[in-house]
Amino acid sequence: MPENQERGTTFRIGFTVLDRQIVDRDGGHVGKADDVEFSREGEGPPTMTALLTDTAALGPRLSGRLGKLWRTVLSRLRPFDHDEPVRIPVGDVEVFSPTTRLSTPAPEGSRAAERWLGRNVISRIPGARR
Amino acid sequence: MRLVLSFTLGMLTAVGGFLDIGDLVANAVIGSRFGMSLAWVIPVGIIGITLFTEMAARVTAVSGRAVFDLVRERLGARAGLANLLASYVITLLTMSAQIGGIALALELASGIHYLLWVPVAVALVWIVVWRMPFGWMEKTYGLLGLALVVFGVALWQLGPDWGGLMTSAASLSPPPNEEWSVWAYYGIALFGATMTPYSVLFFSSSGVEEKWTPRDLATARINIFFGFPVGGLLALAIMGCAAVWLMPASVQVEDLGQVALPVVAALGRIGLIVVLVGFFAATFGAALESALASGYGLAQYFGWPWGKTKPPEQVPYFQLAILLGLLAGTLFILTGLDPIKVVEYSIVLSAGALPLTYLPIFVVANDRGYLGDRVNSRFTNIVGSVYLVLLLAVSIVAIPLMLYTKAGQ
Repeated sequence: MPENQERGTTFRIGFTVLDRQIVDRDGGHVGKADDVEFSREGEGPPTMTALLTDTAALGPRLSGRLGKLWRTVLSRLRPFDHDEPVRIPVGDVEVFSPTTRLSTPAPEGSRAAERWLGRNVISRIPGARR
Repeated sequence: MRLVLSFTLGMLTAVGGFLDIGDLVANAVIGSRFGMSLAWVIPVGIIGITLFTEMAARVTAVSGRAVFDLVRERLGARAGLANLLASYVITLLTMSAQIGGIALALELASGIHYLLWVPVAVALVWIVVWRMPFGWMEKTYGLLGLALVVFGVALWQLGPDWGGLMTSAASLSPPPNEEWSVWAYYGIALFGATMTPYSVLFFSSSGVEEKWTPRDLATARINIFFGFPVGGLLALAIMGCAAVWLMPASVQVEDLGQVALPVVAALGRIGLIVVLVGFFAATFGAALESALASGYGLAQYFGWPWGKTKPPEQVPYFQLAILLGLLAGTLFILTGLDPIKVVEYSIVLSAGALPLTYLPIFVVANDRGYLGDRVNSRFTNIVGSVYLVLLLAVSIVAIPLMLYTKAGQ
């Protein structure tokens, strides 16, 4: 399969990008593509510049109060030095579908709460490193 | 030789791992109350679960991904979340039922009250999830579960009037003293118990854990096509024992001990020991599968790393989710609700939620993006569509029928 097969062809972001599993260069799970970021330079059309992977970023995509509550509660789980959803520049994406594969290691700050839990709680239970 | 051994082992494991507390209770309750008149539900359920499990196995072997990993991609964030929550709650309820079942089996073996066994049972389940290698886990409870073949032996020893059983099975209507609505309600419960959703969720994720490739598909298929139907025969044997021995004695099955009574009557103490081993293995295996299934579902929706084969430290959310799920299930059973009632509700609610599990499998199994030319054949799609209509009908009537019949009273 050629790399970057989607580039230069038309595809639906809702189908090809959103909600896909993102894995890093080594195949490790980074998260799901919970949302996407669009930017607009000058008068041109908005372009997709980054994928957001962060469970809190899913909030706005669920409707109404549930979505707001989701975002508020889950964004509290972010580490202090990373108060933004984790951004993955589109340029780092090697292929979108069927699994979104990155050409880089997992971005900094991704899975921060999970790693903390692994280090400080789970690994203290006997046998966690087997 | 080695290949033959591994095939045999796989098939035996599939047979032994097929039954769980839902099947044990549903078949005994139904046999003692309706004779064999609902026996036809078992083959209908077996064909359904065989069909859809094969699809799930194919998706996993070809794409290397578990089916529910793909649900969010195909259903989107919102519908996927609704599906996840419903499946998760029902999986936890089923897991609680299995934990109650382990405790009841230990009570039968020891005479010590089941509530005291609940924490022990949960601790054992958790230790196996935490430490035991995956293949060993599956093989151990699968092979021990074969002890339930004792129901077949007992049925044969009881020397029933086979003609009478066949007539009852062919009647396709409730016995004269029972209502149609109650009969239909139990039929749906049995269908839910036979097509248990968590086992497909577990099966497809276990394929990822064991790193299946298309080459493993043949083995998986043989296990499915042989193991499930033979498991169905065991279910029929349980129903037959209840119909032959419990129904004439007008025993209303209200606890696990009564499920074992026909075996004890036919085979005495040896029978009792074997059947208790079978009960323990069946419920313990199902508790493991459903506990893991609950963790798989959450991790796959949110994109967390997961896997029982990985060191827990590397999959912290996955392990934490299982641990919290087990605690919730323990507390639920420790409230002292009748575990047999929990089993009955869990299988009826499973029946109500069947399309949530099987529709996504069907959709993904037709997606060339994942499966290339290994998508469903036309024949599979025709049978699958008929089943989806059936599943939808069952899910629509399940809850209203439960309310109308006051859960089959």
